[in-house]
Amino acid sequence: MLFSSPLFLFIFLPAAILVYYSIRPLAGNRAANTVLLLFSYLFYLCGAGTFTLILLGSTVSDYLLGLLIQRHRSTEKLWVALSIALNIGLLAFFKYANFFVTEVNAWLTMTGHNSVQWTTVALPVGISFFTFQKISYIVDVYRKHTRPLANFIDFALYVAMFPQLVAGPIVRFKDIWDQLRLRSESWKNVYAGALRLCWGLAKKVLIADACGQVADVAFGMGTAVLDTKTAWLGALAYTFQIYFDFSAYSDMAIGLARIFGFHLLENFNRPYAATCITDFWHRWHISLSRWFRDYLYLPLGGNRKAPWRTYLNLLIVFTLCGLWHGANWTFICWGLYHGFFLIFERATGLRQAAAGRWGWIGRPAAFLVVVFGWVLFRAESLPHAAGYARAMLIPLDTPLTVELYAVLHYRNIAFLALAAVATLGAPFLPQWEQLFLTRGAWQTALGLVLILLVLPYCAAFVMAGSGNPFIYYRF
Amino acid sequence: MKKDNSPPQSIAHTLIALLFVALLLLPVVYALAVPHAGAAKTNGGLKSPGLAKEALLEPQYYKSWSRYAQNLITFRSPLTRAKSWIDYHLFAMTDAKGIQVGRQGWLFDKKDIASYQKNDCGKAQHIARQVMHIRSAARLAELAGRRFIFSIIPAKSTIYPEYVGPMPQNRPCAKSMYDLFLSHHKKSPLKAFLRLDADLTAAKTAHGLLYDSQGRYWNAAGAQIAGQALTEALFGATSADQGNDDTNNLGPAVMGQPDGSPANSGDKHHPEEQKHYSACVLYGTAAATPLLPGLMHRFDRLDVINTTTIPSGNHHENLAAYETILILIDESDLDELNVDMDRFCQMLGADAAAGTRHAIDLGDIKARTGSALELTPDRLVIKSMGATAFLEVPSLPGSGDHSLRILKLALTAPQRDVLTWTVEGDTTIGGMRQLRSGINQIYLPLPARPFVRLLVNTGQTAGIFQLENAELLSYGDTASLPLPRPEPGQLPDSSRNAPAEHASMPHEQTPAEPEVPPAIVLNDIQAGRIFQRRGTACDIFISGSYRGRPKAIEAAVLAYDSDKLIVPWTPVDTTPANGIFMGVLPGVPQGGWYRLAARFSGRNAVAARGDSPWGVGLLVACIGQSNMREWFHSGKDLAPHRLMSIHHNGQWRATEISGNGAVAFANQLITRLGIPVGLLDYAVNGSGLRREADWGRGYWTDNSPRSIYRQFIQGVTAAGGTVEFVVWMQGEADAARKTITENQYRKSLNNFITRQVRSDIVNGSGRGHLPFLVVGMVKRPVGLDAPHQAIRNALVAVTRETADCYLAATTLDLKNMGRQHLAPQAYTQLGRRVAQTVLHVLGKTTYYRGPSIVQARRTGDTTIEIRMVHRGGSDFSPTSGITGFKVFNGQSSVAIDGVERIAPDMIRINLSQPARPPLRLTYLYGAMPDSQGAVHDNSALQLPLEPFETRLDRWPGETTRQ
Repeated sequence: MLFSSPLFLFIFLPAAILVYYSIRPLAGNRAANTVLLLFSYLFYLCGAGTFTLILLGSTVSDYLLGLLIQRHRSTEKLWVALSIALNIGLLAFFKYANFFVTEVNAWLTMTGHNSVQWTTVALPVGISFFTFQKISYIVDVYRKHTRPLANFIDFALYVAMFPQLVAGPIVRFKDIWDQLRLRSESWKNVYAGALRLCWGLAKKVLIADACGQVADVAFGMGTAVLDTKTAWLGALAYTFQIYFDFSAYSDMAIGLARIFGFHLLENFNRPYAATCITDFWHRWHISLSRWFRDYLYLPLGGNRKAPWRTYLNLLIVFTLCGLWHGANWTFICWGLYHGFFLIFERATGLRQAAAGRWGWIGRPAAFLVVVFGWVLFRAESLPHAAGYARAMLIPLDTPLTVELYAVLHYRNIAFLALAAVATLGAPFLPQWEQLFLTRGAWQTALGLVLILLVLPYCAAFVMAGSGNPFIYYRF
Repeated sequence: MKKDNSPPQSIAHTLIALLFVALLLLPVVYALAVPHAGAAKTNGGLKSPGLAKEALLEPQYYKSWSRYAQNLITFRSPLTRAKSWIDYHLFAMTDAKGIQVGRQGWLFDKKDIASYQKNDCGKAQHIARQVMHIRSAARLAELAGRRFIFSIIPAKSTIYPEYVGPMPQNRPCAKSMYDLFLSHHKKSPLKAFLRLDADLTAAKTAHGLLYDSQGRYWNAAGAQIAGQALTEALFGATSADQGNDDTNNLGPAVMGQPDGSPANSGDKHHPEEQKHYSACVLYGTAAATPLLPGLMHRFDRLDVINTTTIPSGNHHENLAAYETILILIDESDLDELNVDMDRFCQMLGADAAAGTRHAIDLGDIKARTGSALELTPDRLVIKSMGATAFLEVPSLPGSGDHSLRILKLALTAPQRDVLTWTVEGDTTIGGMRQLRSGINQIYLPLPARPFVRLLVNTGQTAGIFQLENAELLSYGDTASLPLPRPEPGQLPDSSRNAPAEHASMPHEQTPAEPEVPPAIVLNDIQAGRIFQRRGTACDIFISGSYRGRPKAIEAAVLAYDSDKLIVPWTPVDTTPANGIFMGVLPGVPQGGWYRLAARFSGRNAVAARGDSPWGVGLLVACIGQSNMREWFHSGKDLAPHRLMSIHHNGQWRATEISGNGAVAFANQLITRLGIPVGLLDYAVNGSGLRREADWGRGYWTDNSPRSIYRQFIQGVTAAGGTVEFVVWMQGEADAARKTITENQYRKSLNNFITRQVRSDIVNGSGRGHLPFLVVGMVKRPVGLDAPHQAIRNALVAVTRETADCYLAATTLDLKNMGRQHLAPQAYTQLGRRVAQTVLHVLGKTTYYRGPSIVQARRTGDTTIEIRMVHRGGSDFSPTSGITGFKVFNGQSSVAIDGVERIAPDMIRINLSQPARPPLRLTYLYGAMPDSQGAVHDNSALQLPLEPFETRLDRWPGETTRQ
């Protein structure tokens, strides 16, 4: 179920709010968690069907393994290994098996052997996110950063809570443990959550989808006929789209969680204002960066060992980060591309320089690197990415195509311009997400505008069926 | 919930939070509180999917809920309207598909401006050929004493380009198809062409708006201008009036003045003072409607046919019955225009109207490439290798300013195919013709030039064609006999100016040189292909090429696995020539898999073997909409039999087959008959039967060249053109349209079977008609009872009233998955049921349908007894808890206590309270009947009791048979 669908906005969400707040005062936190869990499973069932059983099954197994780790410390490594093997195994099967078999078959065919018969496996939505959450729980319990949850409902809710179930943010167990057991709901939370939700909906429906239309046309063109301005327009449009799309989802997730009393950590911090790629990864998909840092980079040794080992660790982390996004060589290369720049910055000391007085040049340079990275990320294949990048770099001027003309209408141009101003001017603009939490007459007026004008306009978009799914749904 | 501490701000925030929740709740609460205000009443009337336990794990089920919710939400319509208003007024755009907002809010159909945007210069050849056909058709009509007017209704963007808005600049070609048409017209004026854009453009400043800013077609003022021009052309023009107007000089052509027309046609023309005419046929689209009032009173009869194919494929009109032929085509439909010259000539008696007819010596026709010719006393046998084979017709005088020449060919084709022709040295001239299996009369209008040499490809598929006759029909000048020969320079040098196809074709085989070793190359049969049997065997066409000097070529059929000889070595071509051989290997027995082999007669060493497995068996064409598509895709429970093959998109596939329905069906037949079974997979998701049910995926009664039906026929042709059965599983799209009545669907399906399918597909069954198997529509959790029942009734009615048409399966008892498709396991059951029907038609089983109700009567105040007759079974289950029956008293349903078995052929319904007549009894009726406890007999297939409806009019009730 999409957050930006009528079923969610006008049936599911109001029903969840009504039932939750009806039960909460009468039956307390445990019952409220049960209500949220039931709604979360219903939410997942709507989009994932039978995969819900996989979610349930893996939740049960990790719950039991968490308890086993706690109770049998002597064999804790065995249980941790078992849990990680199960989680990674599920992820590998559903997300990477098709890719692996395709590559093997290509090699077999090339060498004159018969290819392996294989039936394509469908990807359960959100598996990348809830798998990482469960791993974070098991590792935190193993590291004794937290105690395992005795109550299955609470644990299942941690794994499946619908605001962040299918596209994050990836919530580390230690960040939410207290809130599962004890949290307070207030009108202030509902107010802040509602505004954040509307803000995210507007970003998604108005800006991200507008940018997406332009990007789709540019990336859908053959690279042989792609001219330089169209290529740049498409690359920039996608750069804006992916930020506004994913951050919109995070806004909506944070807002929804807030309505039910949860405080989720921020997932973005004006990433295109980064002064270098290292800085970019402190601002982009923060929950994923932290997860990789805490559960992979640091266990590998982080930067505590020799420089070459640090570089290797970075390369491993970012290769896996790329692979996490999808089973395609483009994602792997995208991870390597970012890993390379991180190593380069670390090796040359550029990251310190960019953070200081060279920030004015570091910011556009980092932005350019990121833009080319998104080309790699968005392209259908490596040759497509290479052709697209070539079109950006080697000047070619041909007339705009009819298809591009069709999507460059005033509405899309207006929202593209807004996206450009909001991202490129981010260092000089206030953080809108924080404005909703501050008091003041005009902030309240802004809230009213969001609720009374933007929400109905977005709802009309949604009802007209002109929206697209979130990009990160497929990861 | 806790309250915030700082009062004013907190109150404001709390109020906003409440407002947010209220806004989210408002649509549903309002819809529930005021049921009639809900969009559901006005927007499709979708039913709630309800609680379907078996579908709880299916995303499709929730999609049904999503659709229902969307429909339920009040304010949807005003909200989307408000958004559209903002988009239109603020951003000068719209999300409505197919519409572009231009300057000053003008709306344009994107189809109208697409031609300008998409660089249609590439269609120059297409337009040139259209112009030639229109010119020929007009000339022929004129010679046959008919009035012929062709006009193009200009698109709004053509008359008002200033309002279109930004268009791509610096396009390599800024010409639309209409521009191309006009440029052809300018070069060589079409006398029958009535140009409207000039009149409209001239009038647009004087007459105000001729097209409304938000209209698609012209308004009344625009139509009036066009109507005047048309009326003048038809009834009022004189040659003096049109003296200086080259492009609108219709008078002579329309009014029958000599204008270079043949002398013998002059007496057929109507004098210009005649103001009232007998019959007119108008081919046009919606924009032509405003012109009708001005035309109707001028004719005794005016038939309007909405089509771009002329003569139409669906309406069975006869052009000979009309005195006037009007073609008013929308500019945006120009690409679709298709003048079928063969039918046009036949209808207007082109042969009889010809001034002279000159027989062409078939011996003068030469093989250019990929073919070998054999002249017999009465025909020319053409051994064609397919797409690369071209014949060269000797140079002929072309048409002239005052004459028309048509080359008429009588060609026998071995299968359905497409003939293409072009003029040497000018590929812009030419065209294509659909060929039927058997003899075809083909009329090729010759272009206006002194001499032309035609290159003809007889078909895309290799085969033996026979040219029975070729003659040149001349109209308008008779001074050209005997045929003049071209002077040097009047014809392009064929060796230098051969068409592109020619350049890429292999050269003819010259007599084998002594040093070249003999060899033979077999054109292999596509892997997995199944030939439709005729009786228990079939004839296989064999072709290939060779080097050397064979006296004859022999062929044999081997078992694919063992190389055992199935058909012994048999001469197939006793006169191979030009390095090409082809012939027919008769009597290949049904079975498979086989492979081909060929050799030089008497030289065992020179032989070739085919690599591909193929067979002879039974072909079944499967068409319809999504449930038939799912039959090929849903479920992988069964392993396909090794003798099963599927034909889709022109290709055979014998591996990687899935789909429970298709596999169960084919496996059952192969197991029972022991022969290969090929399924032709040509269903189209969302397709309707009738035009009104075209939801964007096409409809089956559409016979136009690009229709889904023609694609299906092309598929059948590629599979050999002959099938033994057709299975039809369709109706949901028409039911969803709601306005299509039972009678309309019944008539359309009947026409579809008898006039389209049975006309275009060769019957391979050996029965009187090609058997057509109808599968009943499945249950649908959404949708209204009445339209669904109407389509179901129509399907059953068609099987009753159409010869060799069978109700292949009832599906209402089968398990649904999601909105309107069967569960994978249900497809397995369905496949077996349909296979049982096929076996029954083939005489292999005694039954194929389940029991049916023959009597229903009231036996007490609260009891109704039902008697059934069994077909394959002798008893039924369940014995109690039977569901699917409903009793109605008027519109209200009568509660049923229980339904139980009282004898192997008797069921009793116990009503919860006495009910007075008139009563109506139904079983498995409506969109989504309760079939949880449906009755099934005890036959091997456990076939369901068939749906039923009757009235119990009298008390105590006697029998009322449905």
